[in-house]
Amino acid sequence: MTELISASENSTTTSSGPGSWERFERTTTGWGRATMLATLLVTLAGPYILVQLTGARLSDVFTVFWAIALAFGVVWFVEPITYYPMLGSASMYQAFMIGNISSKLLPAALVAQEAVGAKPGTRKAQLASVLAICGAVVVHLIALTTVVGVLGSWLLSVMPAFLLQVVQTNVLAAIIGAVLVQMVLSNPKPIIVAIAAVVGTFVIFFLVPNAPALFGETVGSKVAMFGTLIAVLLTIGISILVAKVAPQLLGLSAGADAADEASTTTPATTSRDQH
Amino acid sequence: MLLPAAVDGNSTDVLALANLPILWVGVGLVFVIIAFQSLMFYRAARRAAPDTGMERGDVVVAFRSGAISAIGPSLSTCLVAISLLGLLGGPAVLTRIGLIGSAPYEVGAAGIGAHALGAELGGEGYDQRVFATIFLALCLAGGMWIVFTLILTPLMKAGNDVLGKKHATLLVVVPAAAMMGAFGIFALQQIEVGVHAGGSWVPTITMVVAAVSMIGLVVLRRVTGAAWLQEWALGITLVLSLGAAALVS
Repeated sequence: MTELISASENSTTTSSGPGSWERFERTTTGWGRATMLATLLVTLAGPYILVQLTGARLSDVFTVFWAIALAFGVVWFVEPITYYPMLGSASMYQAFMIGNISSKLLPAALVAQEAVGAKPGTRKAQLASVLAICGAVVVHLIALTTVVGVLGSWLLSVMPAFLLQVVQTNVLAAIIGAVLVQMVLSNPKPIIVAIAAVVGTFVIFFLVPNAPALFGETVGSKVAMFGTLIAVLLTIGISILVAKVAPQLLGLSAGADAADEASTTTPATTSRDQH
Repeated sequence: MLLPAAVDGNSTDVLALANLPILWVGVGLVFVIIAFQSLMFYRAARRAAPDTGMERGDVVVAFRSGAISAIGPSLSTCLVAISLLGLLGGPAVLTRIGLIGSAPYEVGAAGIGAHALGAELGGEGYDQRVFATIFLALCLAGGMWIVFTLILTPLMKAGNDVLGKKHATLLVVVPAAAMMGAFGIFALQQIEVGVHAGGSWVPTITMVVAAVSMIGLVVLRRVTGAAWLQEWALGITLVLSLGAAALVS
């Protein structure tokens, strides 16, 4: 990762006027931060109003937030670290507002870099990626407005109630089936799949049903509510244990250099497919 | 306030709350902010281009290639988003799945959230109050991405990639384990619905059809080498599996 960055600094300081680049960085960093914070505030304001209107409890919101944080929080900093070398600093401020990075923005940036003949990591490549994401934004905002906003709302209004009910009750199952297969096929770590399967079966078919008998009613009902979280944390814990005790099972080489090797190669190739 | 008649925390008419006009105003603002950001970034990039050896023509080429290559993935995202409209409502779908986040992560997080409240997404106990709670928690959690990006980008620019170096194994293993663990248990929960007395096997059937369709599409892509199949895989899978669900319901 760091190699890519330092290579970019070396190769470009000679070929360009530093003044104009600094201005570009200042503009993109300044507006990037301002627009990101504005988006954050706007997206929080709406649901906060709903919480007030419905009389929902903020303590419940934080319970849910911590449950999500425990399960997925690590992705919050893994993704910025993973995508930085591929996107460069300016595009980071774009990418994490627009979303669907691996499936949409990275391909767009790579295609554009190739189209203008920019070597990865150079300043030209960073500009190409910024411009490509601008192009992608135009297409995506138009598509969202017309297809989801207009067509989607219309579809919902004309869809027979029966069909709407079917979609509502089964869309999660459909997404789960599809994403599960995608995850296994695109990032095959059979041992993690196996751990997740065993842990999941244990939690769903043994722990949760027997929790009231094992721990009493109060704790038992909590176990049921946090079953998913318990399963995720167990899967993470056992996977870390396996990584420490038998790294070869995860395709990582043993010892201290495993860390270095993984940091330069694995995140860029494996985590790309996650989001 | 706006449309107070639609608001009742105990009501299971979640869509009435999820589509409140005030939320659509928020969606409009997010669109405007992102469009404005793109305009500023485009102008900044165009101004800096000549000094990095990028010609005027290249600026247009880069912009256009980005736009064209985004068409497929963008429409595919839209298809997934439409399928979730009935569950989460327009504003949540547009600002969490259409923009900012992505379907697998947000759906996973919403699932975990619903269970923590003792409810099922779109099922038992899913009322307006639960929706509001989950929606705010999702936005807080999604906001953490923004916070970490704002903190980490300057650090990594300064070459401070300590975290990535020191904990490389964890950075590879933990996210994979978290996503596998979550989606593994979601899958088992669908099956559990069927196992229950008086439960329905329709979700299980839908899930299996989705999984099989996805395997078929991935195989087809590897055989034919058609890249567009990868972009459209999730969308096509949803249509096929929900079609199957309608048939067996």
